[in-house]
Amino acid sequence: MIGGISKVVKRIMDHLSLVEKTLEAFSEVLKQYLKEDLDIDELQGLMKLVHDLEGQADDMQEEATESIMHSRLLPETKVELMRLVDRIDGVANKAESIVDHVFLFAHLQFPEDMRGQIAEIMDITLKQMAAAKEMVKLLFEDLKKAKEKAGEVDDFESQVDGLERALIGELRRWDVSLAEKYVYLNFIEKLADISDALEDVASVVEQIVAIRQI
Amino acid sequence: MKVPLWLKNYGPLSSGLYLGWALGTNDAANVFGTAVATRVIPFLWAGVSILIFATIGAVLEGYAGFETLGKFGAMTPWDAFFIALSAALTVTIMTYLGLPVSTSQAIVGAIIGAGAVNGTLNLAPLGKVVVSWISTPIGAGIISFFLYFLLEPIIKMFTKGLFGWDKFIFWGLLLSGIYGAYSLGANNVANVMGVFVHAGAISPFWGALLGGLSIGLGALTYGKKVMETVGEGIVRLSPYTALVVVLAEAITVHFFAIVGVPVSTSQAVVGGVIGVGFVEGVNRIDRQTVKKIIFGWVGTPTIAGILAAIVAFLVALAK
Repeated sequence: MIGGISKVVKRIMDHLSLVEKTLEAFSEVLKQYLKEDLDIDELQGLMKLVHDLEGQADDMQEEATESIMHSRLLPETKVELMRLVDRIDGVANKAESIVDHVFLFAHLQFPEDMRGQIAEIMDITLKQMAAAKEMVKLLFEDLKKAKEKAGEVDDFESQVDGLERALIGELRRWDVSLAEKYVYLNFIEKLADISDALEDVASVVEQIVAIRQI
Repeated sequence: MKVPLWLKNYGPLSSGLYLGWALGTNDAANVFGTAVATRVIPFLWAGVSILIFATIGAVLEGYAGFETLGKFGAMTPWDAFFIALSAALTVTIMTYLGLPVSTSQAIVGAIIGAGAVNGTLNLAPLGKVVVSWISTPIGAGIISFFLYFLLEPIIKMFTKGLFGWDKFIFWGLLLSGIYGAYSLGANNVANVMGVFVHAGAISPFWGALLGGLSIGLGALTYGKKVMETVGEGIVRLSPYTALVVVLAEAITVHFFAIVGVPVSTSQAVVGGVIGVGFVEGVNRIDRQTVKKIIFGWVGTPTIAGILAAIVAFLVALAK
């Protein structure tokens, strides 16, 4: 009955690893972008890497979906896993979207303290990504532990949320034009969206576990 | 015109076989409906399982029901033919009209109706039969209530990870379906062949074998649509509660096969659904459901009885 299960797990985990690599590459882009002495060539090289990795993640998503469809899992489980893979892919899409829409159009010069907070958001998001990866792995091994891990992923999102609010508060007090404030706000919100996307992955896992609780 | 010997000997069985086929098409949904409607188990697997296990159940444990139905009074093979035909017509007409119907209750009504006209009726077994009918949904409800708790530690043992759950549900639905098919054959074969065995038209072994096969063939040839329709009603429950309901239905029906009274698998399912409803704190008893069950107990045997009485009267006139 449970034909092709190991293949399904491998593809989902491979997809997750590619999304994690995309996010790591994105964090390098961000580091470079936040530098005052921006190296454009290096930045473009890193941005290309984000695109390439996101493209690979897309391909792997297709392969994972195919393997889920052709497995002998219960139909409900197939739907849930496809939704999970889709949400995981959403994380890489968010990172790519920042590269496409923010970095390409302007070099935002954040003040020093805000740069620190942005870097902190990125650090927490990377930790959240690692927790999400562990959570998905646990989903296949121990539903109870997967649920606990999902709680951790949610906690990281709350931390990012707090930093996002603090940054927006500082932005409000910052003496720049309203138009500039919107550009900076857009960047901060988009960055925090990655953490929200990871929280969405955790929500899917929580739902999968909840349905299976007697 | 001289009637050929084979027709004289085996012709009466035709209405029983038709009744078995109709029973198989309808009742297959009560054992594999959930699994097929959710596409957990392919229809062919379910159909073949019912064919095999309903036949095995009928052959191994169908005889007690033959005895109970036989106690209602003496009859000839052609009396048996008309009784089974009246029951089959009742089931067909009521199904067509969308009314709740049970083959077990139709055949008893038909036996009583025909027996009353023929003057061969013995109502002594009726008390045991009626008590069994009423006990079926109640018993299934109680069993499903306790099964819900009993299965919990077992499912937790197997369902640590996501795929353990899938395995448990798949094997649970397959095995409970197989057991349900076995119980269906053991219990309901008496509806199909009981009157013929009693009339001496066929031996108990061959009656059980042919009856079981006719039920299985009904499920295999025409059960898919009913499984998908009826199954969806059960699917609204979670996979675990659906599993509990099917298992409770199978245990109840098997119990009454041992007691020797054919009962309604549909009413056992309703009882099971109400039982898990109590555990989950959901009230699944509505007036319509209660009406359907009571109609099954009273309306079905009455209609079948009247029809069989008319047929028996006409046959007596023709003689």
